Amino acid sequence: MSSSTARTANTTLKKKTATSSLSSSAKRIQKELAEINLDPPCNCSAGPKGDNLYEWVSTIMGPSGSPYAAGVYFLDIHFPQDYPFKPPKIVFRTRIYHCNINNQGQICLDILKDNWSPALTISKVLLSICSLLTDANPHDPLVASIAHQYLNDREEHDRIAKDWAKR
Amino acid sequence: MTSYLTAEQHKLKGNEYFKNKAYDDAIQEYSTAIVKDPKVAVYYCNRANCFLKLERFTNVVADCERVVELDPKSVKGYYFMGKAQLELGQPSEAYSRLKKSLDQRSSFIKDIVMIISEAKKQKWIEDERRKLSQVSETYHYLSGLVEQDIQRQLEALDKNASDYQENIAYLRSERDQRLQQLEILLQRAGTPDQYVKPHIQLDQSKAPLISPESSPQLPKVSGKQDSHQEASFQVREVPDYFLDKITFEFMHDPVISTKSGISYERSTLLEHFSYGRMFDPVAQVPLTEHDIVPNRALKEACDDFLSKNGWAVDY
Repeated sequence: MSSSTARTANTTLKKKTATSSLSSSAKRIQKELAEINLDPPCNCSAGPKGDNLYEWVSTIMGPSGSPYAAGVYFLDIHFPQDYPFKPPKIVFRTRIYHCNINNQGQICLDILKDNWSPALTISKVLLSICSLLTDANPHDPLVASIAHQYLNDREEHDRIAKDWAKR
Repeated sequence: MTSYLTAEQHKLKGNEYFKNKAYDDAIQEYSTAIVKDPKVAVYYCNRANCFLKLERFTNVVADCERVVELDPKSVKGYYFMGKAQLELGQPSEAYSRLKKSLDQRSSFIKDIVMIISEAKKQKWIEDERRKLSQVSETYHYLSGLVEQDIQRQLEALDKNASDYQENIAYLRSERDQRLQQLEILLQRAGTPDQYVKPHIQLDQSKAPLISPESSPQLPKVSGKQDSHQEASFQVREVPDYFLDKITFEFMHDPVISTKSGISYERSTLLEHFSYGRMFDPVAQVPLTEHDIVPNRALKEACDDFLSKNGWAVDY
């Protein structure tokens, strides 16, 4: 091979080798995926929807001891290009009766907004969501009526939540 | 015809051409500038950048040698030279040049760190291949087969096809992949009782030449392994304390947060700050650029680990 073709080949080669051309966000997401497969957080699973590494789905089993125990919840996870410097976007795809989660599935959770830190991982976030299901935060509600009910008629709240979870 | 222009004006014209990606024209202008005033490092440096774009790497090295001669502090001079030498397959030389450019500290430190990683890795791969082929005749034999196979495919390529260059590049990357897989297989064969986690995913669809199933038939690598050899047979995992808490990648320039004692890779921590979020990502306490200092002990430990585990560079 002449030296000139060797050189051209060498530069194109770099673009083709998998890891060196991956953006830092993709690399980090890949590491998280490996980690989550190796050591999944309890009652949760997560992974890419298809070929796109930035779009994941997750399932959370309702934590036992909570009114959501009978439910299985699907969530969509979207990683921004500047992940992990910006938080992932997570929404519930399954309907849930919860004062911090609205009927669009949006979640009111501090670490998904202002308290996001690039040292957090999707695994830690899923655990936080699980504990949000166990302990709702009615003092920073997304759905005020449910929060009001949670504080004033806990029994009825839990009954409706349980009822929704079964469906 | 443009002889009434000064060297500096030629440089400016060159810059204009460079912006428009007319690298040949830019080289003309810089060359004229150099003829008129051969003592200005910038002219060589800019011309080297053009050569780099045109992938004329030997010219790059020649120009950069002039640059660092005229201006020993030129970050770009060392950087371009290192890049070119890496392309020319001289990773060791590239590494020392790039180290020099890093020592000068500059704004595009991240690019330099990245290309240094590449140089380090290639240097390590080169060393490792040499070592491996010395001790292992099996490797020698099999890698020879891989080379032959690729060579045959290279010769079979249609030189007139529009994607000829692409195909060559593809085959070369194929060859590198296969050689890497071969190394992994040999390592497995050498440590049958131990679980060896391959750090490179085996892509079976693309490389049917050697399938993992064939590994038990591979003769064991002989017992006369030296200490270096042993190091490469260990499980390919990087201890967490060498990994940046943000990217989970291997740290090359660790800095310690004086507010928490936690270490991060400098460039990623600075990127975190650039989003206006002035806090320590793990400890979640206020932190700014002024509260971080290099973690020299950790750096030494990282460098030491790397010298024994070159593959970890871009872990």
